[in-house]
Parts: sequence; C-alpha cells; structure tokens
Amino acid sequence: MRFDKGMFVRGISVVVLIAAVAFLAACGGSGSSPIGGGNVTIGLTPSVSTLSPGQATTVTAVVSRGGVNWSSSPAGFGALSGQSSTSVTYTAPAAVPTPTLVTITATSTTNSAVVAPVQVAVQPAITVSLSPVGPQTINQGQQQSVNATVVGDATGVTWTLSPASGAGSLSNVTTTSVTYTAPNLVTSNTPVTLTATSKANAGSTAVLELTAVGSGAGTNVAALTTAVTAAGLPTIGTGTNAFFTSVTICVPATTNCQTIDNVLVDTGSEGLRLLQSQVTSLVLPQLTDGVGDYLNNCITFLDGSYLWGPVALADVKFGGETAGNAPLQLISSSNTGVPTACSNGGTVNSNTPQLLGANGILGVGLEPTDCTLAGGNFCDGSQGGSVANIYFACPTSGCATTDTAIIASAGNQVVNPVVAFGADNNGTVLKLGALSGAATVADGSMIFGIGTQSNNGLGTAAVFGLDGNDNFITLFSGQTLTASFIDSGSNGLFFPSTITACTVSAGFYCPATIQNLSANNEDPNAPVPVLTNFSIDNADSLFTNPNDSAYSTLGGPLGTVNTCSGNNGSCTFDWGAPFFYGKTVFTAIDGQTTPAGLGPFWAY
Amino acid sequence: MKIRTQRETCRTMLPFLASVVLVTLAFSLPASAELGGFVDTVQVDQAKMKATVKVTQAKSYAIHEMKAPTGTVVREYVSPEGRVFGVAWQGPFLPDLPLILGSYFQQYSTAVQAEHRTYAGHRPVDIQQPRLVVQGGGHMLGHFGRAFVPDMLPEGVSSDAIR
Repeated sequence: MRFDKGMFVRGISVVVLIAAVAFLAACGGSGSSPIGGGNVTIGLTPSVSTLSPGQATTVTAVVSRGGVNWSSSPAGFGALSGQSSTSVTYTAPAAVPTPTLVTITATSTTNSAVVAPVQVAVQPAITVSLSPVGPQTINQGQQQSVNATVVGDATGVTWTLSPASGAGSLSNVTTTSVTYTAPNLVTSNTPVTLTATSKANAGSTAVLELTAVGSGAGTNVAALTTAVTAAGLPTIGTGTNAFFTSVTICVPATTNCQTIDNVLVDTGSEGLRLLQSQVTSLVLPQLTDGVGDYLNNCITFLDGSYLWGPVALADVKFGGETAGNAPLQLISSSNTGVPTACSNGGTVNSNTPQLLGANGILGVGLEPTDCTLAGGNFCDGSQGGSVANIYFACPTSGCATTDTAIIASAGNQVVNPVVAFGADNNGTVLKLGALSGAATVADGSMIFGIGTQSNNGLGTAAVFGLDGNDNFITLFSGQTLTASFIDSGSNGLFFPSTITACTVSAGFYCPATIQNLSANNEDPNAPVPVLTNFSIDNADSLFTNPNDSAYSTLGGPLGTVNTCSGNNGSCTFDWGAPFFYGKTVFTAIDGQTTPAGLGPFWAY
Repeated sequence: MKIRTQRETCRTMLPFLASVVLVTLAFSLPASAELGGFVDTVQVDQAKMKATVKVTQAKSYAIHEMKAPTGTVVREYVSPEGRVFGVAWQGPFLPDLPLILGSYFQQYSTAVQAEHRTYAGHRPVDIQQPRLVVQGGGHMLGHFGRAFVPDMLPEGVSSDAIR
C-alpha cells in the first residue's frame, strides 16, 4: 500500500483541533452526555508527521474538561507508552515493510463520544544510492549520466544541483536517472554537488560530488568508472571489471554531437569502435574506396568475438581533447552481410550492448592504428602483397560473404584517437585508486600525454621497452613468460599457474585461500626485473555479491605451466584490470616522442 | 620476435614439402576436416592460408608448422596414424578457425557463445570440454591459442605438447 504525501498530516507542532461538537452532533442520541454540562473539546498536538522504523513521537492533548484515553490503529502496529491523561508516546515498529498510516486517537474520559484522531505516517527505511559514486571530474560541456537506486520506496527521487547558478544543468530527468551537463565554459575548477532526494522521505538523500574543469590544468583528463550506467548492458556481479568513460562524437566540423557513456577503455587495442545502435542522433560520413563502395572494418578479440561495421569520420572528443575528422568503426547492428573472412576468426558478433559489455571500445593501446605493429602496416599493401582480413569494401547493400580484404591506406585506418589529438598525443596515463578485493564501484582517471603537462610526468615510474610484438617479459614462479602484456580491457590477471581453477566460474582461479603472489616484469631489450605484487582470490566467492563491478584479486588460467617456448600460448602473463588498481600506468604509442624516448613502452 | 621474411621461409621449406607429399601418398585418404581429420587436410589448410610449411618429427607425433604471409603461424599435431589431434596458433591475426578446427568448429562456437552469455567481462577463451579443449588469448595484433581433442592424444603424449 502506498500513500501520497498529501494524505499525511503535515508540519511539526501543528495543533490539530478537533471540534468535539461535530462528533457530539454526529453521535446525538447515543445516550452519553457531557458531565457537568457544556461541550468537551480536545486539541491534539503531534510533534512529527512522519516516523521511521523504531522512532517514537509524543502526542499531547489539550482538553477543555477532564482527560483522555489513548488508542492506536492498526492494532499491534507499534506501541503506546507513557500514557497520561494529556499525553502519550507512540513508538513505530522496528520493521516496516510498507508505508503505513497510523491513527492515534484520544477519547474523552468525560464523554466517550468525544474523540480526536491524529495521523502519523510510518515509512519503511529508505536509502538512496547513486551510480557512479564520486568524486568525479568532468570537463566543461561534457555530460555524465547518473542513476539513483532507492531501496524501500518506489516513487524515486528528485534531483537538485548546487550551487544554484554556474553549476551546469540537468536534462533527461526521471525519478531514477538524470543527465548532468557541465557548464560550457569553466574558467576555474568548479565543485558541483548533485543531490538525489527521496520523494517519499526528504530525509533520505545521496550526493555525487563533481568537479567541473575548464581550460588550463585538467583539460587532458577523462573520468573512469567501473559503474554500469547505460541501459542494456550486462548486469554487474559477474566480473565485469571494466573501466568505462564517456566519448563525444560530432559530425566533423559541426556542433552536431552526441555523447556516449559506458565506452570501455582498452589499452590492448587501437581505435574507437561504437555500437551503431547507440549512435542515434547523428549521421556520420562514411569512408568510401573511391568507386562508391564503403570501407568496412573487421576486428577479432581475444575472447572469440569479432566486431564488424563501416568506417566513419567524426570529431572525437573526450577528456578535453579532440581528434578531428578521425576514422572510427561503427559496429553494425546487422548479423548479415559479414564476409566469411571476417566472421571466421571470431564466432560471436558483439554488436549489442549485452554482447559487447559496453556501448563501445576505446582502444588507446601502443599502436597508432589497428593495422600497425613495430613500424609495419599489415593493411596498406606494404607487406608483400598480402593484406590482413581487416578492411573490406562493400556496396550500400552490404558485403557478400565471399568478399575478400582490400588495401586501406594508413590515413583511412581506424585510428587510436590519442595519436590524432592536436596535443598530449604521445600516450595515455591510467590512474585507478587502490582496491582491496571486490567493490561496488571503482573510479579513476585517464590522462592524455606523457610528460606534456604537470599532471602526466613519468616521475620515478619504471619504463619497459617492448619486443617486436609489443610484449615484455614476466618472470613468474620459475617461468620466463616472454609474450606478456598489460591490457586494461582484460577483466582479470591471466597466467599459467598451478592455482586451482574454478568449476563454477569456469575460466577463473578458485584457490581455497587468497594467494599473495609476486612476479617480476622486465624490458626484453634491457632486462632489469621490477617486482610486482598481486593477489588471487576465489572467483566463486568474488562473484557472490551481485552489486560488485570492481575486482582487484580476479585471475584465471592461461596456457599451461612450464611449457613456454618460442613465444607460444604458454608464454603470456596478461596483466588485466586488477593490475591497474592503486597504480599509475603509462602507455606510450609506437613512434611517438616522450621524455623517456620513443614509444612503444609501458611504464608504471 | 621479429617476423621472418617470406623469402627466408621459402628457402627452408623445400626439403619439408617433400616429406608432406610422402605422408600424403602413404595414407591417400580423402580431404576432410582438420582438427580430428587426416594429415592430408594439412595441405588443404596450407593452400587456403597461402602458407609456407615446415614439418618436425617428434617422438610419437609430427608437427606441421604453417606460416601465413601475414605472419600468423599455425602448428598442426599429427599422430602416427595420421590424425590431427591438436592445433596451435600465434601471430598478429587469428587463423581461419573454421578451417583448422574443422568439424569441431561448431562445438567451439556454441561454447564460446555460452561463455559470453555467462560472463560480461573481456577475457581469454578457455573451453574445457571432455571431447574438446580450446584456449586462446592475446591483444590486438598479438593472438595465440590452441585446440585439441583429449581422446585423440597419442599414448604417452601430454596435452602440454600442443602449444
């Protein structure tokens, strides 16, 4: 049962006067008559109008003659105590499953026909929580979707921003979500508080602390969160462990733009790939091959999935930086018109939020495009007449399954947006807060540029050069794992070990007790071991809380123990998302100049 | 690892090509699926991959190693009876998995899709079924993996050999 707030007796210390005369009239002929003659009147003063579970309130009666007896209904819902002829204390029950209106009634001892009721609303405990949690940094003009979860009430929340002016604006307002837009021009860092207030109980609130940043310091920073805020994504609690950011895309050289949330930040791939189904308000120009066919892109990922769709151009904006007229992939919603040469390699067409686990992938890895490695380009025809199955030319009606890959020039290839920035374009820095075990959410930031501003210097970070496959060496448990890499897009640490594998959470480790381990990473060109500690916990246990989205101790098997040779499949330590918690990790792009020399390298 | 040039590979492959032909003649079986198929299917794979091939004889099996022009290496493990009991790959691009997994591809595909439905996160493939194991991982332009049929491992050969 739900009550509208208007039904409740409002205000504190409002004297509710009940004209006993009315009751006398209504009860005329009942046989009772005022003792001593004249009317009896009762005035009741409740001290509160609403109560939370277990709370008490005192009701006071002002009686013109004699005293009163007290009763309450519904029977058995809460208790009366401290009864006197002029006051009573009502205590709400400890457990309140639904909002309940309690009537406390004073009955005249002089004339039982004279009664005065007062109503108090007893509310279930209401808690409000927000996703993402703060503090968050947001760039001028950028948007952030915020969701409220209300436990104990279904009417949701109202949203307020403070300060009252200059804090930006709210749009898409519902009782459970809102879109916050930072002011278009921020001249100095501006703290903003977004408050969600329970509609049913104004005492239940949750706040999100934001800092809007503008020109000057902080223009090269994008916020990261593991929270899932967009609709249609998989439920958390199953090891998502994904660092999400928001990306704004615009029709080139226009202000016709759209911001897309929950884009996965992936240091293990290159290029921006957005689900076409999420690009709802823009028509981006698509690249053609010069004879009318559209350039399409095909990428396979480590998890057996592939992404297929046209190459489009957009001004890509995030973290205060812009990659102008940058080729990106729009992941086609269609499952047909995919050449076999593309779909062959992968078996899951990850073209929905549910399948992709994100609205897009922002590849900010070591290479400038999705075809380049160690200075070579596998798609531009420079590799001995053979091109990789990455670019295809398709008519508007779609590709045929028999179509084969074509040559795509470097300038038409899906580009790592960072290298296409006007400044701060030599790499990225990922900073995540320390985390112990699992958590509802973890936040961090992605900073652009290495050694280009005061906030992205290498400091004392160890720098790791890489081999021709963009890998380094991890020494772990007597193994020399020569094809190891750091990858924010992997949700765990994956490596060959004798740790017990899970039977329920297949593909993860399930040790009986948490394993505190260490490994050494080193540059294959100049091997100096650098110790890294990590822990692996039982994935079955980690996945028991369905509200968790961040895991610092998640890991799983990869390859087989002690069989690494020749960079085979048992030679990899995949340092995924758990590696990033509590660290500052630098990814320098191949061929770009940094204070520590040319990329590619990692540093942390 | 530096990617070997095609010319170097061509020089080294000639002596091995002869042995492949001999093996094929000895069995003279129809071309069929790859993993689980007979050794002559290695040639089908080689042709489709436009790959160079190198054969190494281990104690109780042979390794047919093919290298595609785009740098991906596929190793097929062949039992004394001429059956392909395992495959492994590494390189900048995934190999043609339907080609090298043959009749096991559908089983792999179904399992991978089920894994996607269960777990949201991105992670390496790890399919462990009684009659098929497929594992793989890597990053963009750096893939690796292997597949084998546990029942078909020659006596005394550990699955660790397939890598």
